Amino acid sequence: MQSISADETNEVRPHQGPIFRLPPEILTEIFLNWKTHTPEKQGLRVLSLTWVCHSWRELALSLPLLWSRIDFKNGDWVQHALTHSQDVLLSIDADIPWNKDPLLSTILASLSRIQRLSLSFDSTSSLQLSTSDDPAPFLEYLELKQFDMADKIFSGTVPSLREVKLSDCTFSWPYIPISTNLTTLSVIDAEAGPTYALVSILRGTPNLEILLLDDAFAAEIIVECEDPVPLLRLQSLTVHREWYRTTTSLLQQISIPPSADVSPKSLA
Amino acid sequence: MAAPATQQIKIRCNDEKEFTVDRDVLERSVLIKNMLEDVTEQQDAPIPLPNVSGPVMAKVLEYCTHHRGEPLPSADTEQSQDETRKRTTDISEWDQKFITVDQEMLFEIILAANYLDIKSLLDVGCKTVANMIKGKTPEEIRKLFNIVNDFTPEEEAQIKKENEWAEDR
Repeated sequence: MQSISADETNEVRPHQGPIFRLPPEILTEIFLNWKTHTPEKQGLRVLSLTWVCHSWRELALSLPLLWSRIDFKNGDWVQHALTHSQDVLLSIDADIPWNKDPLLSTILASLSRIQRLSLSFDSTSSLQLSTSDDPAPFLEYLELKQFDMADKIFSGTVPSLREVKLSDCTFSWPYIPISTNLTTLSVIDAEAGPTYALVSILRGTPNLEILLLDDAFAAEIIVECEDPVPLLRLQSLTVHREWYRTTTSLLQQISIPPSADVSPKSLA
Repeated sequence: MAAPATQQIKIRCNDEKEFTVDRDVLERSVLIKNMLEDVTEQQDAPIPLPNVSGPVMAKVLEYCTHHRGEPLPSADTEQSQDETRKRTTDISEWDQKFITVDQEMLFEIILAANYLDIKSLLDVGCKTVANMIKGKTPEEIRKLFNIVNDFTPEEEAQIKKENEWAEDR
Protein backbone atom coordinates (compact mmCIF):
# COMPACT_ATOMS: atom_id res chain seq x y z
CA MET A 1 0.00 0.00 0.00
CA GLN A 2 2.97 2.35 0.03
CA SER A 3 3.35 2.84 -3.65
CA ILE A 4 1.42 6.10 -3.77
CA SER A 5 3.75 9.05 -3.54
CA ALA A 6 3.26 11.89 -1.14
CA ASP A 7 2.65 14.24 -4.04
CA GLU A 8 -0.24 12.12 -5.25
CA THR A 9 -1.82 11.62 -1.85
CA ASN A 10 -1.46 15.10 -0.47
CA GLU A 11 -2.75 17.02 -3.41
CA VAL A 12 -6.29 18.07 -2.61
CA ARG A 13 -8.22 20.11 -5.06
CA PRO A 14 -9.41 23.33 -3.41
CA HIS A 15 -13.10 22.41 -3.45
CA GLN A 16 -12.62 18.98 -1.94
CA GLY A 17 -12.23 17.79 1.63
CA PRO A 18 -9.27 15.92 3.10
CA ILE A 19 -10.81 12.54 2.25
CA PHE A 20 -9.45 13.12 -1.26
CA ARG A 21 -5.92 12.74 0.10
CA LEU A 22 -6.57 9.05 0.56
CA PRO A 23 -5.19 6.87 -2.21
CA PRO A 24 -7.60 4.45 -3.94
CA GLU A 25 -6.20 1.47 -2.00
CA ILE A 26 -7.33 2.98 1.29
CA LEU A 27 -10.67 4.13 -0.07
CA THR A 28 -11.14 0.55 -1.27
CA GLU A 29 -10.63 -0.72 2.29
CA ILE A 30 -13.15 1.85 3.53
CA PHE A 31 -15.71 0.78 0.96
CA LEU A 32 -15.27 -2.91 1.79
CA ASN A 33 -15.58 -2.15 5.50
CA TRP A 34 -18.70 -0.14 4.71
CA LYS A 35 -20.12 -3.22 2.99
CA THR A 36 -19.60 -5.21 6.19
CA HIS A 37 -21.66 -2.60 8.04
CA THR A 38 -24.52 -2.84 5.57
CA PRO A 39 -27.29 -5.12 6.81
CA GLU A 40 -28.06 -8.31 4.92
CA LYS A 41 -30.81 -7.90 2.32
CA GLN A 42 -29.77 -4.31 1.61
CA GLY A 43 -27.25 -4.95 -1.13
CA LEU A 44 -28.85 -2.23 -3.24
CA ARG A 45 -27.36 0.33 -0.86
CA VAL A 46 -24.04 -0.15 -2.61
CA LEU A 47 -25.45 2.08 -5.33
CA SER A 48 -25.34 5.02 -2.91
CA LEU A 49 -21.53 4.89 -2.99
CA THR A 50 -21.63 5.28 -6.75
CA TRP A 51 -23.91 8.30 -6.50
CA VAL A 52 -21.51 10.48 -4.47
CA CYS A 53 -19.06 11.75 -7.06
CA HIS A 54 -17.26 10.71 -10.22
CA SER A 55 -14.15 9.24 -8.60
CA TRP A 56 -16.10 7.28 -5.98
CA ARG A 57 -18.35 5.92 -8.71
CA GLU A 58 -15.40 4.80 -10.80
CA LEU A 59 -13.74 3.14 -7.83
CA ALA A 60 -16.90 1.42 -6.53
CA LEU A 61 -17.74 0.04 -9.96
CA SER A 62 -14.25 -1.42 -10.21
CA LEU A 63 -14.48 -3.40 -6.94
CA PRO A 64 -16.09 -6.81 -7.59
CA LEU A 65 -16.41 -7.63 -3.89
CA LEU A 66 -18.76 -4.69 -3.42
CA TRP A 67 -21.23 -6.26 -5.82
CA SER A 68 -21.20 -9.84 -4.55
CA ARG A 69 -24.41 -9.56 -2.54
CA ILE A 70 -27.46 -9.52 -4.77
CA ASP A 71 -30.74 -9.28 -2.98
CA PHE A 72 -33.23 -7.49 -5.13
CA LYS A 73 -35.90 -8.30 -7.67
CA ASN A 74 -35.19 -5.72 -10.34
CA GLY A 75 -33.64 -7.39 -13.37
CA ASP A 76 -31.53 -4.40 -14.41
CA TRP A 77 -30.03 -4.18 -10.94
CA VAL A 78 -29.27 -7.90 -10.88
CA GLN A 79 -27.57 -7.68 -14.26
CA HIS A 80 -25.64 -4.61 -13.12
CA ALA A 81 -24.43 -6.40 -9.98
CA LEU A 82 -23.58 -9.60 -11.86
CA THR A 83 -21.49 -7.61 -14.33
CA HIS A 84 -19.57 -5.61 -11.74
CA SER A 85 -19.03 -8.57 -9.42
CA GLN A 86 -16.91 -10.06 -12.24
CA ASP A 87 -15.82 -13.51 -11.00
CA VAL A 88 -16.16 -13.28 -7.21
CA LEU A 89 -18.43 -15.67 -5.29
CA LEU A 90 -22.01 -14.49 -5.00
CA SER A 91 -24.64 -14.40 -2.31
CA ILE A 92 -28.06 -14.10 -3.92
CA ASP A 93 -31.28 -13.46 -2.06
CA ALA A 94 -34.02 -12.61 -4.53
CA ASP A 95 -37.76 -12.34 -4.59
CA ILE A 96 -38.85 -13.41 -8.03
CA PRO A 97 -42.09 -11.74 -9.12
CA TRP A 98 -44.42 -14.07 -11.00
CA ASN A 99 -43.78 -12.30 -14.30
CA LYS A 100 -39.99 -12.25 -14.09
CA ASP A 101 -38.86 -15.76 -14.92
CA PRO A 102 -36.03 -14.31 -17.12
CA LEU A 103 -34.57 -12.88 -13.91
CA LEU A 104 -34.28 -16.41 -12.59
CA SER A 105 -32.54 -17.52 -15.77
CA THR A 106 -30.12 -14.60 -15.40
CA ILE A 107 -29.32 -15.65 -11.85
CA LEU A 108 -28.93 -19.34 -12.67
CA ALA A 109 -26.56 -18.47 -15.51
CA SER A 110 -24.08 -17.53 -12.77
CA LEU A 111 -24.56 -20.78 -10.85
CA SER A 112 -20.90 -21.67 -11.14
CA ARG A 113 -19.97 -18.87 -8.73
CA ILE A 114 -22.96 -18.73 -6.41
CA GLN A 115 -22.14 -19.53 -2.79
CA ARG A 116 -25.48 -18.73 -1.15
CA LEU A 117 -28.76 -18.85 -3.02
CA SER A 118 -32.08 -17.91 -1.51
CA LEU A 119 -35.01 -17.58 -3.90
CA SER A 120 -38.60 -16.82 -3.16
CA PHE A 121 -41.44 -16.57 -5.61
CA ASP A 122 -44.20 -14.04 -5.40
CA SER A 123 -46.77 -15.30 -2.92
CA THR A 124 -49.65 -15.09 -5.34
CA SER A 125 -48.19 -17.28 -8.00
CA SER A 126 -45.87 -20.20 -8.17
CA LEU A 127 -43.79 -20.73 -11.26
CA GLN A 128 -42.02 -23.85 -12.29
CA LEU A 129 -38.37 -23.54 -11.46
CA SER A 130 -36.02 -23.55 -14.38
CA THR A 131 -33.41 -26.22 -14.06
CA SER A 132 -29.71 -25.98 -14.69
CA ASP A 133 -27.26 -28.57 -15.91
CA ASP A 134 -24.28 -26.52 -14.76
CA PRO A 135 -22.28 -27.63 -11.76
CA ALA A 136 -22.46 -25.43 -8.69
CA PRO A 137 -19.03 -26.08 -7.18
CA PHE A 138 -19.22 -23.32 -4.56
CA LEU A 139 -22.88 -23.53 -3.57
CA GLU A 140 -23.02 -23.95 0.21
CA TYR A 141 -26.50 -22.73 1.08
CA LEU A 142 -29.76 -23.20 -0.81
CA GLU A 143 -33.10 -21.85 0.34
CA LEU A 144 -36.22 -22.00 -1.82
CA LYS A 145 -39.70 -20.74 -1.04
CA GLN A 146 -42.85 -21.41 -3.02
CA PHE A 147 -41.23 -23.20 -5.90
CA ASP A 148 -42.77 -25.79 -8.12
CA MET A 149 -40.07 -28.24 -9.17
CA ALA A 150 -40.93 -30.56 -11.98
CA ASP A 151 -37.46 -32.05 -12.08
CA LYS A 152 -34.12 -31.88 -10.34
CA ILE A 153 -33.18 -28.26 -9.66
CA PHE A 154 -29.55 -28.79 -10.49
CA SER A 155 -28.41 -31.67 -12.59
CA GLY A 156 -24.78 -30.74 -12.06
CA THR A 157 -22.77 -31.49 -8.96
CA VAL A 158 -23.04 -29.50 -5.74
CA PRO A 159 -20.02 -30.78 -3.75
CA SER A 160 -19.93 -27.92 -1.24
CA LEU A 161 -23.62 -27.88 -0.38
CA ARG A 162 -24.10 -27.82 3.40
CA GLU A 163 -27.58 -26.42 4.00
CA VAL A 164 -30.84 -26.96 2.13
CA LYS A 165 -34.03 -25.25 3.29
CA LEU A 166 -37.26 -25.71 1.36
CA SER A 167 -40.60 -24.29 2.36
CA ASP A 168 -43.94 -24.33 0.62
CA CYS A 169 -42.41 -26.01 -2.42
CA THR A 170 -43.83 -28.68 -4.67
CA PHE A 171 -41.32 -31.39 -5.49
CA SER A 172 -40.39 -35.02 -5.06
CA TRP A 173 -37.61 -36.08 -2.72
CA PRO A 174 -35.20 -37.17 -5.48
CA TYR A 175 -35.23 -33.62 -6.89
CA ILE A 176 -33.40 -32.24 -3.83
CA PRO A 177 -29.75 -31.50 -4.53
CA ILE A 178 -27.55 -33.14 -1.95
CA SER A 179 -23.88 -33.65 -1.23
CA THR A 180 -21.99 -35.76 1.23
CA ASN A 181 -21.16 -32.49 3.01
CA LEU A 182 -24.81 -31.68 3.72
CA THR A 183 -25.28 -30.87 7.41
CA THR A 184 -28.76 -29.31 7.46
CA LEU A 185 -31.96 -30.31 5.69
CA SER A 186 -35.16 -28.46 6.47
CA VAL A 187 -38.40 -29.17 4.63
CA ILE A 188 -41.62 -27.38 5.52
CA ASP A 189 -44.99 -27.65 3.81
CA ALA A 190 -43.87 -29.81 0.95
CA GLU A 191 -45.80 -33.09 0.79
CA ALA A 192 -42.86 -34.34 -1.18
CA GLY A 193 -43.55 -38.07 -1.14
CA PRO A 194 -43.26 -41.05 1.18
CA THR A 195 -40.56 -41.61 3.76
CA TYR A 196 -38.70 -44.30 1.84
CA ALA A 197 -37.96 -41.75 -0.93
CA LEU A 198 -36.48 -39.34 1.60
CA VAL A 199 -34.52 -42.13 3.26
CA SER A 200 -33.14 -43.05 -0.11
CA ILE A 201 -31.53 -39.63 -0.50
CA LEU A 202 -30.39 -39.60 3.13
CA ARG A 203 -28.09 -42.48 2.23
CA GLY A 204 -25.99 -39.84 0.47
CA THR A 205 -25.79 -37.48 3.48
CA PRO A 206 -23.60 -39.19 6.09
CA ASN A 207 -22.69 -35.87 7.70
CA LEU A 208 -26.24 -34.66 8.31
CA GLU A 209 -26.53 -32.93 11.68
CA ILE A 210 -29.94 -31.25 11.56
CA LEU A 211 -33.09 -32.70 10.00
CA LEU A 212 -36.34 -30.74 10.23
CA LEU A 213 -39.50 -32.11 8.66
CA ASP A 214 -42.75 -30.23 9.03
CA ASP A 215 -45.66 -31.43 6.95
CA ALA A 216 -43.03 -32.71 4.55
CA PHE A 217 -44.46 -36.07 3.49
CA ALA A 218 -47.23 -37.08 1.17
CA ALA A 219 -49.34 -40.18 1.88
CA GLU A 220 -47.23 -42.98 3.26
CA ILE A 221 -46.54 -46.03 1.19
CA ILE A 222 -45.35 -48.86 3.35
CA VAL A 223 -42.30 -50.62 2.01
CA GLU A 224 -40.26 -53.32 3.57
CA CYS A 225 -37.53 -51.76 5.67
CA GLU A 226 -34.01 -52.40 4.47
CA ASP A 227 -31.02 -51.72 6.69
CA PRO A 228 -31.62 -48.42 8.48
CA VAL A 229 -29.62 -45.50 7.11
CA PRO A 230 -26.94 -44.53 9.63
CA LEU A 231 -27.02 -40.80 10.40
CA LEU A 232 -24.27 -40.97 12.97
CA ARG A 233 -23.66 -37.22 13.16
CA LEU A 234 -27.29 -36.25 13.61
CA GLN A 235 -27.69 -33.80 16.48
CA SER A 236 -31.27 -32.73 15.99
CA LEU A 237 -34.33 -34.40 14.49
CA THR A 238 -37.56 -32.41 14.45
CA VAL A 239 -40.77 -33.84 13.08
CA HIS A 240 -43.93 -31.72 13.09
CA ARG A 241 -47.40 -32.17 11.64
CA GLU A 242 -46.81 -35.66 10.29
CA TRP A 243 -49.03 -38.70 10.55
CA TYR A 244 -48.06 -41.08 13.33
CA ARG A 245 -47.66 -43.85 10.79
CA THR A 246 -45.34 -41.72 8.69
CA THR A 247 -43.18 -40.74 11.65
CA THR A 248 -42.93 -44.34 12.82
CA SER A 249 -41.97 -45.44 9.35
CA LEU A 250 -39.23 -42.79 9.15
CA LEU A 251 -37.77 -43.73 12.52
CA GLN A 252 -37.65 -47.38 11.48
CA GLN A 253 -35.60 -46.50 8.42
CA ILE A 254 -32.90 -44.34 10.02
CA SER A 255 -30.38 -44.98 12.75
CA ILE A 256 -29.49 -41.96 14.87
CA PRO A 257 -27.15 -41.55 17.86
CA PRO A 258 -28.79 -41.69 21.31
CA SER A 259 -27.43 -38.21 22.02
CA ALA A 260 -29.46 -36.64 19.20
CA ASP A 261 -32.08 -34.14 20.30
CA VAL A 262 -35.40 -35.48 19.05
CA SER A 263 -38.50 -33.31 18.93
CA PRO A 264 -41.18 -33.92 19.90
CA LYS A 265 -39.66 -35.86 22.75
CA SER A 266 -42.31 -38.55 22.42
CA LEU A 267 -40.52 -39.77 19.30
CA ALA A 268 -37.33 -40.56 21.17
CA MET B 1 17.83 -7.96 39.08
CA ALA B 2 17.21 -4.89 36.96
CA ALA B 3 15.36 -5.36 33.68
CA PRO B 4 17.54 -4.92 30.60
CA ALA B 5 17.46 -1.34 29.31
CA THR B 6 15.16 -0.85 26.35
CA GLN B 7 16.89 0.54 23.30
CA GLN B 8 15.78 4.07 22.49
CA ILE B 9 15.44 5.24 18.92
CA LYS B 10 15.25 8.78 17.59
CA ILE B 11 12.96 9.76 14.77
CA ARG B 12 12.60 13.09 12.97
CA CYS B 13 9.34 14.23 11.35
CA ASN B 14 8.90 16.48 8.32
CA ASP B 15 8.51 19.56 10.55
CA GLU B 16 11.84 18.79 12.28
CA LYS B 17 10.04 17.61 15.39
CA GLU B 18 12.03 14.80 16.99
CA PHE B 19 10.91 11.97 19.25
CA THR B 20 12.98 9.49 21.24
CA VAL B 21 10.99 6.29 21.60
CA ASP B 22 11.44 2.74 22.92
CA ARG B 23 12.37 0.42 20.08
CA ASP B 24 9.50 -2.02 20.73
CA VAL B 25 6.98 0.82 20.48
CA LEU B 26 8.42 2.01 17.17
CA GLU B 27 8.49 -1.52 15.83
CA ARG B 28 4.68 -1.49 15.63
CA SER B 29 5.57 0.19 12.34
CA VAL B 30 6.72 -2.46 9.89
CA LEU B 31 8.48 0.26 7.87
CA ILE B 32 10.61 1.34 10.85
CA LYS B 33 11.09 -2.26 12.04
CA ASN B 34 12.55 -3.19 8.65
CA MET B 35 14.74 -0.07 8.65
CA LEU B 36 16.10 -0.95 12.08
CA GLU B 37 16.77 -4.53 11.07
CA ASP B 38 18.72 -3.32 8.04
CA VAL B 39 21.02 -1.21 10.20
CA THR B 40 23.73 -3.35 11.81
CA GLU B 41 25.54 -0.67 13.78
CA GLN B 42 23.95 1.59 16.33
CA GLN B 43 23.17 4.95 14.79
CA ASP B 44 22.77 8.19 16.65
CA ALA B 45 21.26 10.08 13.74
CA PRO B 46 17.45 10.25 13.91
CA ILE B 47 15.43 8.23 11.39
CA PRO B 48 13.86 10.72 8.99
CA LEU B 49 10.11 10.33 8.39
CA PRO B 50 9.46 12.83 5.60
CA ASN B 51 5.75 11.97 5.20
CA VAL B 52 4.64 12.48 8.80
CA SER B 53 4.31 15.68 10.82
CA GLY B 54 5.05 16.00 14.52
CA PRO B 55 1.45 16.30 15.77
CA VAL B 56 0.36 13.30 13.71
CA MET B 57 3.38 11.26 14.85
CA ALA B 58 2.53 12.09 18.45
CA LYS B 59 -0.91 10.53 17.93
CA VAL B 60 0.57 7.52 16.15
CA LEU B 61 3.02 7.00 19.02
CA GLU B 62 0.16 7.19 21.52
CA TYR B 63 -1.46 4.31 19.62
CA CYS B 64 1.76 2.31 19.36
CA THR B 65 2.52 2.73 23.04
CA HIS B 66 -0.94 1.52 24.03
CA HIS B 67 -0.66 -1.53 21.77
CA ARG B 68 3.01 -2.33 22.44
CA GLY B 69 3.68 -6.03 22.90
CA GLU B 70 0.66 -7.18 20.90
CA PRO B 71 1.45 -9.62 18.07
CA LEU B 72 1.90 -8.07 14.64
CA PRO B 73 -0.07 -9.59 11.75
CA SER B 74 2.20 -11.85 9.73
CA ALA B 75 2.67 -11.32 6.00
CA ASP B 76 1.00 -14.72 5.36
CA THR B 77 -2.07 -13.78 7.35
CA GLU B 78 -2.38 -10.50 5.54
CA GLN B 79 -2.09 -12.10 2.15
CA SER B 80 -4.58 -14.86 2.86
CA GLN B 81 -7.02 -12.34 4.24
CA ASP B 82 -6.63 -9.96 1.37
CA GLU B 83 -9.68 -10.77 -0.73
CA THR B 84 -11.72 -13.20 1.28
CA ARG B 85 -11.15 -12.16 4.86
CA LYS B 86 -14.08 -11.51 7.06
CA ARG B 87 -14.01 -7.87 7.95
CA THR B 88 -15.35 -7.12 11.37
CA THR B 89 -17.01 -3.89 12.29
CA ASP B 90 -15.88 -3.73 15.88
CA ILE B 91 -13.41 -1.17 17.20
CA SER B 92 -12.25 -1.45 20.80
CA GLU B 93 -13.37 1.18 23.26
CA TRP B 94 -9.86 2.58 23.67
CA ASP B 95 -9.33 2.75 19.91
CA GLN B 96 -12.68 4.50 19.48
CA LYS B 97 -11.70 7.19 21.96
CA PHE B 98 -8.25 7.46 20.41
CA ILE B 99 -9.63 7.98 16.90
CA THR B 100 -12.23 10.55 17.96
CA VAL B 101 -10.43 13.45 16.29
CA ASP B 102 -11.31 16.03 13.67
CA GLN B 103 -11.47 14.94 10.04
CA GLU B 104 -8.16 16.55 9.13
CA MET B 105 -6.34 14.58 11.83
CA LEU B 106 -8.30 11.39 11.09
CA PHE B 107 -7.17 11.30 7.47
CA GLU B 108 -3.60 12.28 8.44
CA ILE B 109 -3.50 9.35 10.89
CA ILE B 110 -4.78 7.00 8.19
CA LEU B 111 -2.15 8.22 5.73
CA ALA B 112 0.59 7.94 8.37
CA ALA B 113 -0.53 4.39 9.30
CA ASN B 114 -0.40 3.49 5.62
CA TYR B 115 3.06 5.03 5.13
CA LEU B 116 4.48 3.57 8.34
CA ASP B 117 2.78 0.23 7.62
CA ILE B 118 0.86 -0.11 10.88
CA LYS B 119 -1.92 -2.41 9.72
CA SER B 120 -4.02 -2.39 12.88
CA LEU B 121 -4.10 1.41 13.01
CA LEU B 122 -4.98 1.60 9.33
CA ASP B 123 -7.86 -0.82 10.03
CA VAL B 124 -9.15 1.35 12.87
CA GLY B 125 -9.05 4.40 10.60
CA CYS B 126 -10.81 2.69 7.70
CA LYS B 127 -13.50 1.24 9.95
CA THR B 128 -14.07 4.66 11.48
CA VAL B 129 -14.60 6.30 8.10
CA ALA B 130 -16.85 3.38 7.03
CA ASN B 131 -18.91 3.98 10.19
CA MET B 132 -19.21 7.66 9.29
CA ILE B 133 -20.61 6.77 5.85
CA LYS B 134 -22.98 4.10 7.17
CA GLY B 135 -26.66 4.84 6.66
CA LYS B 136 -26.05 8.17 4.93
CA THR B 137 -27.47 9.31 1.61
CA PRO B 138 -25.07 10.40 -1.15
CA GLU B 139 -25.94 14.04 -0.41
CA GLU B 140 -25.22 13.57 3.29
CA ILE B 141 -21.87 11.93 2.44
CA ARG B 142 -20.95 14.86 0.16
CA LYS B 143 -21.79 17.31 2.90
CA LEU B 144 -19.89 15.34 5.55
CA PHE B 145 -16.65 15.15 3.56
CA ASN B 146 -16.98 18.33 1.51
CA ILE B 147 -17.24 16.44 -1.77
CA VAL B 148 -18.43 18.18 -4.91
CA ASN B 149 -21.00 16.49 -7.15
CA ASP B 150 -18.95 16.38 -10.37
CA PHE B 151 -20.86 13.84 -12.44
CA THR B 152 -20.93 14.18 -16.20
CA PRO B 153 -24.37 14.54 -17.85
CA GLU B 154 -24.07 10.91 -19.03
CA GLU B 155 -23.41 9.73 -15.51
CA GLU B 156 -26.31 11.81 -14.21
CA ALA B 157 -28.60 10.11 -16.73
CA GLN B 158 -27.38 6.66 -15.68
CA ILE B 159 -27.81 7.50 -12.00
CA LYS B 160 -31.37 8.60 -12.68
CA LYS B 161 -32.02 5.15 -14.17
CA GLU B 162 -30.43 3.46 -11.19
CA ASN B 163 -32.71 5.47 -8.90
CA GLU B 164 -35.63 3.87 -10.69
CA TRP B 165 -34.29 0.41 -9.82
CA ALA B 166 -34.49 1.35 -6.18
CA GLU B 167 -38.12 2.38 -6.63
CA ASP B 168 -39.04 -0.91 -8.37
CA ARG B 169 -39.55 -2.82 -5.16
